[in-house]
Formats: sequence, structure tokens, C-alpha cells
Amino acid sequence: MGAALLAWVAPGHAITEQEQRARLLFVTREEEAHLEAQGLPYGDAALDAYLQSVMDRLYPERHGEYRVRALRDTEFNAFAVATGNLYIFTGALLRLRNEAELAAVLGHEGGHLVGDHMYKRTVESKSVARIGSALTLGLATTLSGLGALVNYSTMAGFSRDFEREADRTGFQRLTAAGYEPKVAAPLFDRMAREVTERKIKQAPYIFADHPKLLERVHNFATLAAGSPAGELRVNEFVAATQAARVAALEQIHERKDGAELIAVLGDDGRAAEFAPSGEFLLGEGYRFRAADGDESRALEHYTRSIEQYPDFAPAYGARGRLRARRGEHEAAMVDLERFVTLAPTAQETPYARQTIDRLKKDSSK
Amino acid sequence: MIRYAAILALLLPGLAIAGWEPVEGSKRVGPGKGDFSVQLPEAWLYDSSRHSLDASHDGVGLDRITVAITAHKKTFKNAKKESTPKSAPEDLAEDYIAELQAGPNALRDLVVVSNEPAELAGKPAFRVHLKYRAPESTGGAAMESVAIGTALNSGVMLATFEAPSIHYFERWIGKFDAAAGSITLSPPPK
Repeated sequence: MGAALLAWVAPGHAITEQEQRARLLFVTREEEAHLEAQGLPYGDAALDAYLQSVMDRLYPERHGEYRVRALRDTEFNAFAVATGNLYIFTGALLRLRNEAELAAVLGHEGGHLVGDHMYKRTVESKSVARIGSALTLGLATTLSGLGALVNYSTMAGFSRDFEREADRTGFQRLTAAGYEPKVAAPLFDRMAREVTERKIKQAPYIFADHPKLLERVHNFATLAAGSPAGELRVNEFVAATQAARVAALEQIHERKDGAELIAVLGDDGRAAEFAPSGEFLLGEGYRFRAADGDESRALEHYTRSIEQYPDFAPAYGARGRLRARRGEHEAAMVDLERFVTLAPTAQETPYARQTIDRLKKDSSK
Repeated sequence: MIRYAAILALLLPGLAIAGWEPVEGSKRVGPGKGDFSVQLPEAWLYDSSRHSLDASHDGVGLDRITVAITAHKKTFKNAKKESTPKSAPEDLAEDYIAELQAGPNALRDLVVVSNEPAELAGKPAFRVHLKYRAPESTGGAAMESVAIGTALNSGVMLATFEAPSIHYFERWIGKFDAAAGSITLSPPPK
């Protein structure tokens, strides 16, 4: 709507830079208000304060000017807009492993702001309205709730030159702030792997498509080669973000997206970071995906969960259900009875009781 | 919505001509092809000319009961899931919801109100109560549905009722539950 109104230009009137900037800010603010109305901000003041502290460490001279907030979305994404606001998805926090990786992401997005890339893209596109109507409709529909804000953000994509410039700025800030620079290349490598594993064709990711991600892996590996080591700050990162990360995991589980659960938790030791539910959720990922061999993998992870946390009810329920399906009736009943004992009021308990009754009837025949 | 109801009311006599018949007294009915029968609510119209059995009181857009047995390979096609005669009700419920969320006609704003064990034709079943929004092309009304399902050798038996949340769902849900409770796995007496 805002973009449509702003498309009108009085005949013979040349738009000044000041007017063009005002238009860009106007439509961006309008779309940001839409984002608020959709209830997308995660809304944890302590988490936002932590994210802001990392941003301020990277860009101390922009303190109060660049503002970071978490958004409730499970994808691996972050973006900046011309108002100076940066948004990072809880799905990105879920996939990051330390503060240095978070700084690499925020540093890159900040690089777009420092480089004034949103405005420069507007100039290249001739008008704000054209950006709003022409760019990345697919992205806007993929990222439900963000609406046209996608088009005015760093997510809409930039030229390679702009991306390289943001990479360089982000990397300089990362090292200047004392963070470990070697984290950047493996981070983008993991992103590239997820794009491949989940067969994502149009990646709604900060760093766009697979070839660009691979180019970035190479760039960062080269940049980091001669740089001194820095801080990772794993504990600080986990303490500040764990609740949001677990919430994102639960959101994926609720959506029953097996491929995404496996992409997030499948690496060695990753599930253990989300105790007690990590191994169980990885098992659920294999159950949902249901490819060849996934049923056995699911059983393996449910069992690992039970071995590590003998009172964690969901793993018994899930393993019992799977064992019943495989015809292992005795073992299934043991698991389901344990589940009912541990979680008598759980949502799944009536079904567990139904399965126990069914198996008992079958075995008495 | 009122205009929509009026159009359907006009269509209903047409449906009756095209194979829809009124339910008479306590007569059990079954589909043209298929081994089950059901006692439908009195004074509803029903169509038994296909593999499934459809019934409605005010028009299929306002209240609709469907009972059908669908082959295991076809029931959850959009969700890319395949059931078996041994599928547990809990698994069927999960696949049923996934099916409604998949494919080109995926339901919008789907909310699972309840998902619990039940019985259908004397077999362990699931009962799922859902809320969703109808497609814009049909008015975008707030809708509710209840599905009761169980796995048989020949496929998945599903008894479903759907109606707009306003007025129609509450009005007829009791009749649907009674009808679903009357389903038996034998053809109606001739």
C-alpha cells in the first residue's frame, strides 16, 4: 500500500536523494509495524539485550542506532532494514554454536547497513515502489508474516559486490571485537549443507543460494587464514539463547518437519546440547522423515534418550509406539506402561492406554 | 454467508434429483459399492451412488457427513504417507492431519482442537476435531470438522462431519456422533 502510494511522482518532478531516503524509511517503517502486528517478535527483553550487547561490541560507534531483536521463526535467517533495525530468527540462534558465530552473522548484516546498501539498491532500481513490487515475491510468501518487509531488507538479495563488501566489513568487525575469526567459514559451510540436505531451492537465508554460500565459505577461510585467534564465548551464548533455541526446536517438532530436525540435531554431539529432549527430538526427526532405515535410527535415539534420562517420559511413549508398529508387543507394552506412569496427564496418554489395551487383546487371542 | 446459504438451498432440490434421497425412518443405508452401513439422521438427504456415502441436511456447504473406505495407498497421498491394516489410530490421526495440511488444497489456519482415542465400527479409532478457514473462493468462512477413523484390511474407514462454526457445527455434531456410532461393517439389509 505504502509502496503503491509512493509510486506516484508528479510529472516533471525529479526525486531528490532526501525524498528517496524518506520514502524508503516510510515504507520500511510501515512494514515493520506489520511485523509487530503479526506478533513475530520473540519478545524476550533479556535475549534482545544480549543480542544488542553483541551488536554494540561489533559496532560501538553505532550504539543506539543499530537495534537487534529476535523473531519467532525456525528458519536460519537474519536481516537488516534501512531504519537501522536488525532481526535474527530464533531458528538462526538454534543453529549457531557460540557468540563468535552470532557475531559473524550480525557483523555481516551490519556491513550492509554501514555500506548503505538498502538505499543504494533503491537508487539502482530507480524507485522504492519498484523494489516493493518486483523483488522476490517467492521469498515473501516463503517467510509468512514478514510480508513486503522482505523486499526492503537485506533478504531481498544484493549484487555480489555488496555482499563481498558486507563480508569484508563484518569480518573486520569480528576480528576487531576480539571474536574467533575461524568460525565464519564452517558456519557458512553448515548452512550450505542444510540447503542441500533439505533440498531448499529458493533459500530464504541471509546468504542466499548454494553457490553463493560456497563462495562465502572460501572467502572467509581465506580471510581467517592469517588472523589471530579470538574468543568463542560458548557459555555466554548458550545461557542467553537456550530458551529461544529450545522454543524453536519445539516449533519444528510441532510442525513434524523431520528433515529440519535432522539438519539441526543430526551432527555428532548436537542433540546433547538440548538435554533432556535433544536425543528424543532427533528420534522424532527420523520418525517423521520415514526414509529407508529411519525407523531403526529413531529407535536408537529414543533408546539413547532413555539411557541418559530414565525419567524422560516422551521417549518411552515414542519408543513404545514404534515398537508396537514393528510388532514387538511385549517391549511396546513395557514402554507404554512406563510412559503412562511417568506422564499420566499427557496429551498422548489416552492413545498410549488405547494401544496397551489393543496389544493386550491381540496377545490374548 | 447468507447469500451462499441461499444458493445452496436452491441447489439442494437439484441434488435430490441427481441421486440424493431422503433418509426414511430407521432404515440403514450404505454406499453403492462398499461393505458398511449406517443409520443416518432422519430427514437428511443422502447420496449412495458412489463408493462413499454423503449426507446433508441444509446443503453440502453447510453440513456434510461423509463415510468412506479409501485404499491404504490413497488415503494420505498428499502427505506421502501410507497406512496399513495394522496402523495404530494415533498414527492414522497424525497422518490424517498431515494430509489436510499438504497438497494444493491444504486447509488454511488449521487448528487441532482435540485428538483422542475413539471407536469406529467396533474397532479402535481416532477422533480429531479441527477448526480451519474455508477457501476464499467459497466465502472464507470459519469451519469445523470432526473425523473418526480406523484401519481396516481394505483401507482406512473415515467418518467425517464438516460445517461452518457459526450455528451449523453445534447444531448437527450430536447427530453425526450418533450416526458414526451406528456404523457397522456389513451392507444394509435389503
